[in-house]
Amino acid sequence: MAKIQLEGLHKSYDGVKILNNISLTVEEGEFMALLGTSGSGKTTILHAIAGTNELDDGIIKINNQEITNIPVNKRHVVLVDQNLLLFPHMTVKANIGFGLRMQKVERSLIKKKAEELIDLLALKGHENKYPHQLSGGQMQRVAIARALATEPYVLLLDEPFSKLDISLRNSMQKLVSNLQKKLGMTTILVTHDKDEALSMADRVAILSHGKIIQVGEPYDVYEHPKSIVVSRYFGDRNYFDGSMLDGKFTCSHGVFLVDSSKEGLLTMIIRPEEITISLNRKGVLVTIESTFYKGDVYTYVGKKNNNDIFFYGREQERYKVGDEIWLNIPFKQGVLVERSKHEKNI
Amino acid sequence: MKNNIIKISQPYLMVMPALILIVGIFVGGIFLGFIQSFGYFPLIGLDELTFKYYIEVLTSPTFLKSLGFSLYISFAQAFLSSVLGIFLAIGIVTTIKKDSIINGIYKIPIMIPHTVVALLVFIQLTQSGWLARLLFNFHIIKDMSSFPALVFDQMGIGVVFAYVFKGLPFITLIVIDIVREGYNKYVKVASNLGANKWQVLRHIIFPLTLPSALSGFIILFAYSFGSFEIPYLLGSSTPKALPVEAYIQYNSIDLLDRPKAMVINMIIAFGAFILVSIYQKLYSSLKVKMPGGAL
Amino acid sequence: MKLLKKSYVYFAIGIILFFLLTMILWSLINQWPWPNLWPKQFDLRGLKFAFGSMKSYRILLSSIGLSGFVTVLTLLICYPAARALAFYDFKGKKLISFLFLLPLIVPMITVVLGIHINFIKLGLANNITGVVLVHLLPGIPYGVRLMETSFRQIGQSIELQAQVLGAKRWQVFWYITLPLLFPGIIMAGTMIYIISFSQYFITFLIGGGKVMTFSLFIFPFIESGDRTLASALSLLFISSIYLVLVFSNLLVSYYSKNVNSN
Repeated sequence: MAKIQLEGLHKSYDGVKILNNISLTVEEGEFMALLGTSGSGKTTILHAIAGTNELDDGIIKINNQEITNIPVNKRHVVLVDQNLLLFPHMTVKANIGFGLRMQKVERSLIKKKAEELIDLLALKGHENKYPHQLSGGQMQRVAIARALATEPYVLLLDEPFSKLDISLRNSMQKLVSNLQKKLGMTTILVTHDKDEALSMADRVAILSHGKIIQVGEPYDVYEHPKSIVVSRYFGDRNYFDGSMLDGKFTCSHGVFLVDSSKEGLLTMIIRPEEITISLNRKGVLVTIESTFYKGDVYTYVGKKNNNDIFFYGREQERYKVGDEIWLNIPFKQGVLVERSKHEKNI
Repeated sequence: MKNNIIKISQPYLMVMPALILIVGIFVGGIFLGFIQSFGYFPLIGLDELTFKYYIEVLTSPTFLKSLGFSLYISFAQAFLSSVLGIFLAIGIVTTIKKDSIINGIYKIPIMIPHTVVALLVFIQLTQSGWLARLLFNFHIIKDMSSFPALVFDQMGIGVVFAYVFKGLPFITLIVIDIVREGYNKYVKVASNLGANKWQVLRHIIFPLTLPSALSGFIILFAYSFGSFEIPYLLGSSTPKALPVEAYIQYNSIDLLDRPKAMVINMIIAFGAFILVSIYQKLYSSLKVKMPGGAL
Repeated sequence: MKLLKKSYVYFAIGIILFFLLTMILWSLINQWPWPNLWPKQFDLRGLKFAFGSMKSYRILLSSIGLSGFVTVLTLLICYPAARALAFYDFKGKKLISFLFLLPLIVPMITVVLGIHINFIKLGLANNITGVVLVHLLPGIPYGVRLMETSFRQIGQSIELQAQVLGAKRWQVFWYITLPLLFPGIIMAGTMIYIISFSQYFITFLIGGGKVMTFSLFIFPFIESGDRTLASALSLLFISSIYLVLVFSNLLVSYYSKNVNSN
């Protein structure tokens, strides 16, 4: 168990910057999620920590000791790849014991450790099977047990659940999450799944184009995105372009008092669940453009001056396309961010 | 930076042993043959480069006949092997169970060396061979000499037969998995779309097997074009296949014949090269149309 | 249509078996005069010569030894080359992998006739060293290609995974790469062995009659048309190859019983 520091990591492939000055600290026992689209550089960071690819520049420290030049097999950092990479010619037991065997640990100790992990990950009865005889979830558990067996300083998970179906994925997420807390294992998870990142991690780092654009606790990054890019990561949201002056936000829907000292051309982010339907004909009048049934809620897209506004409704308040309704849009509580350079918002 | 140099040179170091052999002996041998074909042969006092031997060989009727004979044999056997080999694969896939012993038997000729294949063909096809005896016993031929010469003959029937004996199963081996996959995967779809059995063959199975069969054809052609054993053991005295002719010139008491042997050699190598470049063009154009298939 | 296909298959299989059967019969006879379809008199002369004489066994064994040695050497040479082609990108890779395929394209006769005189000068002709050197060449395309394919199939990430779990380089090789590559190595080795074992002309020319292999031993009997002795020797020849194939199949199937790498 250890603390990890990344300082100024740089990496380019064929002239394209994959990592652009990445700095991040993961505390001892912390569960950090790196969230980003494919190509954002998140997997490259994991491989750099594991030592399976080389950096152009930057320092990686574990417990304040630089490991950048330590060979892969001596780092005590284990990576669980999304392809799992179980050794096909070894049984479950042999796979789990592999790392310890390589360190020439005494046989009886290896056996004990393997049995412990087999119990812990509910693999009893499968010890002597080969990987091709296992189900997807079992293979997943073997891969994690194999990683834990060596008692690494850090556990690195590279989209380990992305190939599982939803129900299996949820139960694996729970299992790993509980295990991590129980063992207090410093863990870094790479994922493109926002729900996975938000529900499992202590903190989330959001990556875009080789840069970390925001780090924070799940609640924080979800509720208070620092930029439109971060915000967009968490689904459909409403973006209102306007300007701030003297604590007043002016946009095409009017002028609103806002509890902020920011000034200038800004964008206000308001989540669909924050918007309510007004029954007393106050607020903003929109025409329903389309509706989507999602089981728990109806998602509506309303139109106003050619701009889309997303909001939710419950069963008893069903509206049809073409209906005109009034919306309470809480501009007072919106999150103000810099305007996006490329996209035009409402 | 030192680290970097090691890293860059690593793959070169890894290919080096094999590369030294190929370049040192294989390419070297071709090159030495090449300069000898231009008359560079210091051992017997020849050290001037000349086209003399090329002209001599290329205008000699014996050579031209040999060349024609070799081309004919190589083409005939590679063509027959490929076509019949694909049909054997189709036959096996559609009528024989997968665990049948036949799946093993058809491969036997592939492991039999060419010299022994020559013996097998010899036993069957000479005028005192088994086939002749069978025809005699059925009163189809009157005596030994009325059986047509199929071995040592001008048409090279024995030679072609021997090559096909080995080449046909080879083609079957390299296409059979593709044919099987074709039948398992696409034929149901195709018949579902209304294709009949012939259309399935024509539009599904043949195109699928074509790239591999073509590779097989080229390998068989190139091999027989430069192979000595079978035409030496089963071929006629005139015309002789090119490799036999080359060896005879090489072995001649008159050392001045050696450059001529090298000319023939160069023509064999050149022929093989042309063939492969045609193949590469064809193959890449095929590959664009349909991925898959391998050399 | 089905009947036609079936009879075609049986006809082809029939020819193969019939040819082999006649060869076996020829190895067992004393007399088989024209126009008999069945031998007149059986005799063990041929089999005694092939299977019962020290000379034939000695040549067979030295031939197996030579080809076995050539096989191991070819595999050792091709292993790093195949690995480089599978896992590295480098300048000239295309050219190099083309060069490795060259022995499939240009006949060996061109090469050995061209280099013979230099082999004589270098003292590589008429001895085992020269013969081993030229025997290495025809196996290279198969060795490189087959192992390269195996390397690509296992991929490099599984080796990295072993390293991440703490394995040193030799441990990765010994516990991961070698076992996973095993079927590929056996298949390539079998192929290389059979190719070397069947070589006639290059052994004949470079060995100059000083290096005797079974292919060389058998050749004059076939050439002179002594069907009985030639058949008996061929039988031994084919059997020895067949045994190698059976052995290599056993190895691979024993291995894949436990491992299904997909």
